[in-house]
Amino acid sequence: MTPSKSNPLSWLASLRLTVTLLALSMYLIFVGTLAQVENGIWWVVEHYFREGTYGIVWVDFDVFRSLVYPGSAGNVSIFGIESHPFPSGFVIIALLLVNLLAAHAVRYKMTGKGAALGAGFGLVFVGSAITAYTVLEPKTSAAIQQDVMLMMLIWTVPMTLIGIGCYFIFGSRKAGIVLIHGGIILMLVGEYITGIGADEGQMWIHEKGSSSKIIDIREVEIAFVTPTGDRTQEHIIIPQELIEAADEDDTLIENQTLPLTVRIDAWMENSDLLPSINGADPTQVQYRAEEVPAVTGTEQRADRPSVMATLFRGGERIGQHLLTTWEFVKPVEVEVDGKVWAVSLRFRETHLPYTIQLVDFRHDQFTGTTTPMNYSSTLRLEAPNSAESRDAFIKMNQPLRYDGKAFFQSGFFQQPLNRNLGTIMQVADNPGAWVPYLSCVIVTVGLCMHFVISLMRYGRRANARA
Amino acid sequence: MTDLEYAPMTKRLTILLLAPLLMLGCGEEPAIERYEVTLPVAFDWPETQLREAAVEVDGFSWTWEVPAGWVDAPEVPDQLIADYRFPGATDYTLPGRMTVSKIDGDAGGIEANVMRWLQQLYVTTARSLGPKDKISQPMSMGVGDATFVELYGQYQGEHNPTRISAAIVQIPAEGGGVFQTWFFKLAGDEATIEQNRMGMAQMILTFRPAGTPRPVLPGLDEVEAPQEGEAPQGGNEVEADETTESTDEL
Repeated sequence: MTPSKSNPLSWLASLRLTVTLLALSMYLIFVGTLAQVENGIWWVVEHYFREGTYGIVWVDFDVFRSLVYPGSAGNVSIFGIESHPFPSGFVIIALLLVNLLAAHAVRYKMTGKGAALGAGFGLVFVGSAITAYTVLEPKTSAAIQQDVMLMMLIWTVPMTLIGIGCYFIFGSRKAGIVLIHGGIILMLVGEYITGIGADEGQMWIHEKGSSSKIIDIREVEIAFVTPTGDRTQEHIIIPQELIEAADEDDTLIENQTLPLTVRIDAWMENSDLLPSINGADPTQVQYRAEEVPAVTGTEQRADRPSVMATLFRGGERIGQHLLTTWEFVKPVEVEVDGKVWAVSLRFRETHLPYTIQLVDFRHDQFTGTTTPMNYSSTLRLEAPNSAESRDAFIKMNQPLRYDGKAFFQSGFFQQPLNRNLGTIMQVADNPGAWVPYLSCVIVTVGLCMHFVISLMRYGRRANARA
Repeated sequence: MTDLEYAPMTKRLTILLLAPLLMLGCGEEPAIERYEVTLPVAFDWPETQLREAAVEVDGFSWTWEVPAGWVDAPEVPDQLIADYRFPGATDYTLPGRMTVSKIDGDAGGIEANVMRWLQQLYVTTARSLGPKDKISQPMSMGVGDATFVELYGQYQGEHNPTRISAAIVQIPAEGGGVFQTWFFKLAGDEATIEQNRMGMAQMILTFRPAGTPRPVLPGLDEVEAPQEGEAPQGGNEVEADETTESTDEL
């Protein structure tokens, strides 16, 4: 049936809109890829695809400079205009979702009747309930996500039930396509879940060491840390947004929670340290920070922010200090009301209620070369709250999954002096990590169904003609 | 069912899907945060006892005593003869490491090797010996002369140790000169090194050809507790500032 032109859903369901949105998304991906050269992938993901301002991103013409004049400097403008507005990735996805849902509302009708329709809905419900259980029940979810292939195989069963249900509801011609579209819709929704809920960081542990700390090298914070017991500390955190705002507005950072008032005298997004030896003792090195350009997306290193901050205790000026993410500079120690606070600028930290220990790290190389063949870590997980203690072995593409997080082997470090090795793990906390896998299973089942049903229909017609 | 009957459902779904976008536009205001952190469970090191190590190098068998608490590294790199690890001074300080290596001849001399170690302790500044650094006079022991070295480095962050305590043992050749130079190098955090210096002294002073009698170690065999700042084993230590001429040559 052709949708009525007077139907307001017809415009939303049009294929022209689909093609337009896909073209817009292609352009956004193209300029986003170019923008990565200067700004890095995380900046582009946040500014082009997820955030924007009220769903609008401003694409700088400067991003095309690397195509036209590689290696050149200066701003690119067209008739004096340096950027143009464009819908953000999230807006395009939302419109694609609306387009797809409208298409279903307009073009796809339920053809099943009576008991068949009831059985169809029943099968869809059972399949959805089984899938929801595997995703939402924490232990089952954690167990099956340890093995991606197993997880996808398990999901094939409920998806087949849903597929048969769709067959009863929508008929043989549409059932497979409904399933395929369902998979695509889920994938689009999954990007929202990832965009809103995902977090990522690194965990560094030296051999025979332990850690419960995840650091995010994309953000910094000023931390005030004081011991509160043998094994406990109090942390008070000033996030990067407040540091930058205080620097820009020339305001003090003061709050009842903070033990000290902080004035940001200089904020350096990226910095180098200039050392100088203080007196005759070469171990007593003093540092001065110098602002340097932020790293570009093609550089294999991170920005090292620093701040020059003046600390005040109850109106009394304590002094100006360099706080920096460079590890050579110790935190500043200040006593306030009998408590000693260590003040530092550090990469944003997240502390876990459990510990990961590095029992052993292996860095295998191809024989006779320094080319890495494999990194692997033997870990021990200690969760005092649940009295859980277990060993795990991780290597590239074989992460440890625990507490909704995946601990991927991403690299290693070596202490310069005693050459002890340590592991670097990328810790991904993505509540939507399972969505693309489930989407793939749904689309695969839908494609298989559509193909088999079409083949059978073709066979019947061929037989009838014969 | 007509097409229009689907419209309310689609509208609701559209609003539902666009809601996250609106929510993103009204993101949380950044705020000062306060929280309590429980420190991670410290690594549970295996317990080891005082034991005798035996190695064969270039057809010669050697032995020494390995202090209690020191653990054999899972794999000894090719350039090393032995590799031991031991816990840091506290639950959260870095583990220490003792390595044993050997080079034929005089290996460029003691000064060149001390200079090499100094470079490992300093990443941002070139330097010479500091006031806390010490190099002992060569001390005669069974197999040859041992020179004890104490070096301090600059702070390099929580993942990097800052102290070396080492001994260079030169084994004389029969016709004169140096047959082999052995390096016993203890590297780690300052407090960790202090805790393990006596263990290192015991290891070096019991270093001998296999099958020869173990020397008696006055003081060490009586299990005396190490004193702060104490020299490993009575070597004639010379403060760096008292040997300006010799250290300038390093």
